[in-house]
Amino acid sequence: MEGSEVKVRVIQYFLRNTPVGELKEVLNDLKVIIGEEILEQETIQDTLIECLASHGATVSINDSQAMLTLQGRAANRFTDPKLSKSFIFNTHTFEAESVEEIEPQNSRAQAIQSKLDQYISQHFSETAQARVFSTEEGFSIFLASPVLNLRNMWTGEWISNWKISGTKLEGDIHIRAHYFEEGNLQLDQKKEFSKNIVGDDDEAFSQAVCRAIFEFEDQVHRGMHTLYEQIPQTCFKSMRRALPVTHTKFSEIHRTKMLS
Amino acid sequence: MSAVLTSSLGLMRRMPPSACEKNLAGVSKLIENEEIVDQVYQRVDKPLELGVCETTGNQFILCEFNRDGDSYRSPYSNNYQPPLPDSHGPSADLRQMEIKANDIFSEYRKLYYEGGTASAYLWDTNPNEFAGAFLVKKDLGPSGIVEKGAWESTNLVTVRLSPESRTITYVITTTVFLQITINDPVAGKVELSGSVSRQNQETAAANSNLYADAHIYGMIFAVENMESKLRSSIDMIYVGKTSEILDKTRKVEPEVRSRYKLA
Repeated sequence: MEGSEVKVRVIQYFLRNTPVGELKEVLNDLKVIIGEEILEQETIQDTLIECLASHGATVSINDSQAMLTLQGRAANRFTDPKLSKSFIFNTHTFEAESVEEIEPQNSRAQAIQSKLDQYISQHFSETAQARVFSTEEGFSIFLASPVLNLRNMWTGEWISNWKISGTKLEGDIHIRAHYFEEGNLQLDQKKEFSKNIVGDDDEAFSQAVCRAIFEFEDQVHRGMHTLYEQIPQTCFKSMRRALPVTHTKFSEIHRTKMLS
Repeated sequence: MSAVLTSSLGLMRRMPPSACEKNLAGVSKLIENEEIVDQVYQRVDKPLELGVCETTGNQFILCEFNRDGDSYRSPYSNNYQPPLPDSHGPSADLRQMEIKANDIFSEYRKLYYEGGTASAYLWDTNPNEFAGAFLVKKDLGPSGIVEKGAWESTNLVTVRLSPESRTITYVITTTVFLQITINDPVAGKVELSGSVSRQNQETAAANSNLYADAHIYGMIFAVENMESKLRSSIDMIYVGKTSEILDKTRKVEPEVRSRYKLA
């Protein structure tokens, strides 16, 4: 038993390490372990919102899916630049409240958003979303493609974060997968990139940005495929052989020992 | 099982497997009942550590099955390190079996693992029954794009003699923990980690007593069977499942062909 400050830190650790789409399950388990009261604390509620935003969780506003992002967050109010809306996220109902209209994005951000939307519709899951934010330095882009199948005991996500300042694009790709049938297996991949972007008008600039992101992501994705082909031979085989060098199993060598 | 125990185990199944000790330390700070904390520790497979036998200088595996308080029993000397005044190991008959079991299990290790450490621990449970743990730990150092790797298998076997039916039953639970960290110039830093468990039960004819050497082989045959099954499904699970999930998040080939060209 520890003081409540330690407990809060532990709960934050668990929430931040929860795989995408499993926060409700983890909250339910935490409720049983430690009770509801501590989970209602402002610090915990704040971390919960931060976690949902870091996975790019979505929430319905009318017929559209609004996206929670760290970039669009100010306390518990979120800005969704694509929908030109801001809203408060209710951590109990997981719904959007007090929806307000906001100013549309500048033309360059809109051009990048539109190119990203096309890229996403071609290369990502149906649940994938991306948002472009205008920042002081330039732009910030967040892309999240979560795939969830809790019934068949797996979840996964492709997340990428990009910053454009002047002509420089830099960012990272983070892929995670969780498979938990008869065990707990997780994949965690991370890679950083940077590149200079050339483009005079909105059209050329947004095209160059999305093309660079596409190329980085395609490189990682194909690299993962190559890696997966190598892992059984390079890693698993040197851990434990599938069969002894002699191709004779231990039980065959010692068969007579059981009959005696 | 209490609701708190069930939820704690459920929580552990969602946290990063490579941070097992941190996850356990965390959950133990949340649970009020110390008994349940102990139960969680007993039920979750923790990373295996190595110790050195102070008598023989041999390495052996430190785990729940040779632990008493903060001391661990060497399978070579049968002594607890650091010494424990009131500790007791297996009964004399079972200790004789344990010595042989370690020798024979080491032969098994050499067949399947180049290197690595193996330990076997036996303990008395009920009349006509005992239990054993057969453990292997193998670490991979840096090599090529592989930064590090680890294989840890824990095979828990109960041996039950039925004098009436002249049969012996081996009940086995095998857990393999596998971890690989790769630094690939193209794909980036990739970590695959996790554990997979399977259970099985085998019954064989037995015309001998509970402490016959045949049962050492019987246990290790069961271990070989389970480890081989898990080993052959590891490619399918570790590579197959996680790459399947990856390809659901993103598609290499565009879904809808349109006039819009990115490349």
